Amino acid sequence: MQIDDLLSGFETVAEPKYLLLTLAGVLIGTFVGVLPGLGPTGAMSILFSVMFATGDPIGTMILFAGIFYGAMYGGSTTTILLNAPGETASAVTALDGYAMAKRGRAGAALATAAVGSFVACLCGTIGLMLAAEPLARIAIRFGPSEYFALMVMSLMFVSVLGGKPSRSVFGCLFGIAVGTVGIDSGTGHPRLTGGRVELFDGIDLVIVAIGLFAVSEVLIQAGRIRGEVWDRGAAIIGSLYMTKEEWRRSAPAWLRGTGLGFVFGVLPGLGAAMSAFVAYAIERARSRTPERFGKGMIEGVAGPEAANNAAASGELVPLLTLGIPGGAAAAVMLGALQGFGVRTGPLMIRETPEIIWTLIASLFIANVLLLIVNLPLIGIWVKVLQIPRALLFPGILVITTLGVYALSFSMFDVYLMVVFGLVGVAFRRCGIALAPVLLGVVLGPLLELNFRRVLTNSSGDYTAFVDSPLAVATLALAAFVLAFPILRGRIRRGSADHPGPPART
Amino acid sequence: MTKRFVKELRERAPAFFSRRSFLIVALPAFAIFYFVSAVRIQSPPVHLQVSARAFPMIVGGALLIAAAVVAWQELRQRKSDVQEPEAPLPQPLEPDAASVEIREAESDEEITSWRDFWVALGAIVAMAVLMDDIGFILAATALVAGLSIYFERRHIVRNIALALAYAAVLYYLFDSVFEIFLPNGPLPW
Repeated sequence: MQIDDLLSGFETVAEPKYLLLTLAGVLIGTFVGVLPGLGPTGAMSILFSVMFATGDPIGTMILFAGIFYGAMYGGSTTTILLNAPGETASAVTALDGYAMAKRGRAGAALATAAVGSFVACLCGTIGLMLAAEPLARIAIRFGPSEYFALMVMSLMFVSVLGGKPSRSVFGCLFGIAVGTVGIDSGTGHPRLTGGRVELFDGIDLVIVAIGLFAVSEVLIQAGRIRGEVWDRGAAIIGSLYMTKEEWRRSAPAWLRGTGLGFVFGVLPGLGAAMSAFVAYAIERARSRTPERFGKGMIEGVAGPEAANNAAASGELVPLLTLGIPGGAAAAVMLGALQGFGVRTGPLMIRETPEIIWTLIASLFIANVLLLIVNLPLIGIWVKVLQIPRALLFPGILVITTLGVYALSFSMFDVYLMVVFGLVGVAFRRCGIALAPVLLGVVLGPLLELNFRRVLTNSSGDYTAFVDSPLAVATLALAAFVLAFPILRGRIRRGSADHPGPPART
Repeated sequence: MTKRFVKELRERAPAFFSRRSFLIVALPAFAIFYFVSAVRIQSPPVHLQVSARAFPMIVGGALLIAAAVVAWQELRQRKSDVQEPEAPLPQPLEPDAASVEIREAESDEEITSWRDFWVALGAIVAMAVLMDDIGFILAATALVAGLSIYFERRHIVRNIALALAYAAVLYYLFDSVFEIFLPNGPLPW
C-alpha cells in the first residue's frame, strides 16, 4: 500500500547518513542555484562519479533530489537581490522581485519566494506520491510500440516547446546519434567508435552533461569576463517578514502557481521556466492593477516561484513512473539510476519501491530543510556571490575535470568533455537548446531498444509501430507538436496580411 | 604577402565562423558524416531482424532532413536581410495572457573576447595533458592561479595561495574521503 511504502521511505530517510545527504543536497543545490556557471545538471553530473563509488543508488537519488529542489530556491535569491537569475526558471522573478528589493522590500520578496517554494514543493510532492502508483499501473500495460511512441512524443515536446524548433530537433537527433556510439547491444559489434577502445562502452552521459552545460557555460563566461561589470554589492535585505497584506496577496498566487507548475512539470518539455512565465502572465491578467506589474508587485514573485518549484516536483512524475525524464536534470537522474543497474521504466516502482518511496520521503524532508536552513543563510549566499569570477570559473573547470576523470580515470574522457564543451558553445551561440540534446543521449538507447523489440516481435513489419490506438494517438500528437510552429507561423502571417476590419471607436 | 594573407584571414574569419555559417555548413556536414558512417557500419554475417546499422541510418536520415531545414531557414533569412535592412530589435516581449514565449537572450551567449575564450580552453586542455605527469595538485593550482592572474592582474599572491589551498582540499576530499585516487605526480604522498 502507498502509505506503508511512504512510511517505510521515511524510516529509511531517518537514518543519519540519508538525513545528512538530504541536507547536503539542499545546501549544494542552493549554492549552485545562487552561482552562475554550474546549475543542478552540471552539479549532479560532477557528483555522480563520487556517489557511484559509494554504490548507493538511494543515497544518490536523495542527494540529487535535494540539489534539484535547492537550485530552484537558490536561483530566486540572486534574482531578487541582484537581478541576476542563477537559474533560467527564476528569470521572470526578476521583473518584480528586483523591483521590490530596490524599494527596500527584498526581505518580503525572499520570504514570499521561500514560503511559496515550500507550499509548491509540498503540494507537488503529494501530487507525485498520489500520481505515481496509478500512472505506473497504466504504464505497465504499454508495449514496445506504445513506449516507442511515448518517447518520440516526449522528445518532440522537449525539442519544439523548449526553443527554436528546427534547431532543437537537430540537437535532439544529435543527442540520439551520440547515444548510438559504442557496442551495439543487438549484435555485439562496435559502432561509430573509430576503433577506439575507450568508446566501446559508449559515451557516458556525465561527460556529455558536464561538457554541454558546465564547460560551455564557463568558456562563454570566460569570453565575457572583461566585458561585463558584475555587481557584487549586496542589496539591503531588510526585514524577512511579510505584512498581513502581503500574506493575503501571496497565498492565492502560491496556490495558482502550484497547480499550473505541477501540470507543466509533468508534461515533458514544458518545464519550470515556461511555467514561471505563464504564472506571471496569469497573475498580471488577474490583477486589478496590471500596470503596476514590473514595479514591485508581490504576486509577480509569489506565483512564478511557486510555479517553478511545483514544476520541479512534476518533472519527477514521468521520470519515476515511466522512466522518461521531463528535463535535463531529470535526465541525469535517470542516467544515474541506469548507471546503478536499476531497470528504469514503469516497472521501477514495483521492482525497486525502496528507491522511489525513499526518494519521495526525502523530498518532503528536503522541502522543510530548505525553508528552515536557507532563509537564515541568505547573508552567506550573498557573500558567495562575492567570489571573484576570475577565481570562480577556473575553479569550476577544475571540478568538472575531476568529475569526469573520476568516472574511469581516463584522460580520453576529459578530452571528450572538452569537445562537448565546444559543441555546447557552438549550439548555444546558434540557438540550439541543450536540454533536447541530453534527453536524446539518455532516451536514444531506450528508443533503439524498443525499436528493435517492435520489429523483432513483428518479424520486421513496420506497421507494428502503429498497431495500437494509443501508439497511433501518441505519434499523431508528436507529429502535431512538430508541425505546430509551422502552422502557427502561417496563421500569424495570414492575420498580418489580412488584418480584418478596423475597430469601431 | 604572408602578413596580408593573415590580415585578410583575420578579417574574414569572424564571418566564416559566424552563427549563420555554422548552421548552413557545419550542421549539414555533421549530418552527412554521420549518415555515411552509419551506412558503413558492418554487421556480423548472421541474419538479424534489425541490423546494427538500421537505427543509426534512420537517425542519420532524420539528421540530414533537420540540417537541411535549418540551412534553408538560414539562407532564406539571409536573403531577406539582404533585400530589406535589418529592422530594429523588438522591445522585450512582456508575458501576456494571450501568448507567452521564452525569449532566448542570444546576447547572453555573446563572447566579447575570443582571446580570453581560447586561453581558457587552452588552460583546460593543458591541465588534461599535464595532470598525469605533474599530478593533480600542481596541475589544478597552475590552472586556477594562471587563469585568475590572466584575467585579473591583482592579488597575485592571494590567488596563488587560494588556488593551492583549493587544489589541496579537493585532492584530500577525493583521494582520502571518497577514495577516488588522483595522480600524485612528483609530490611525495
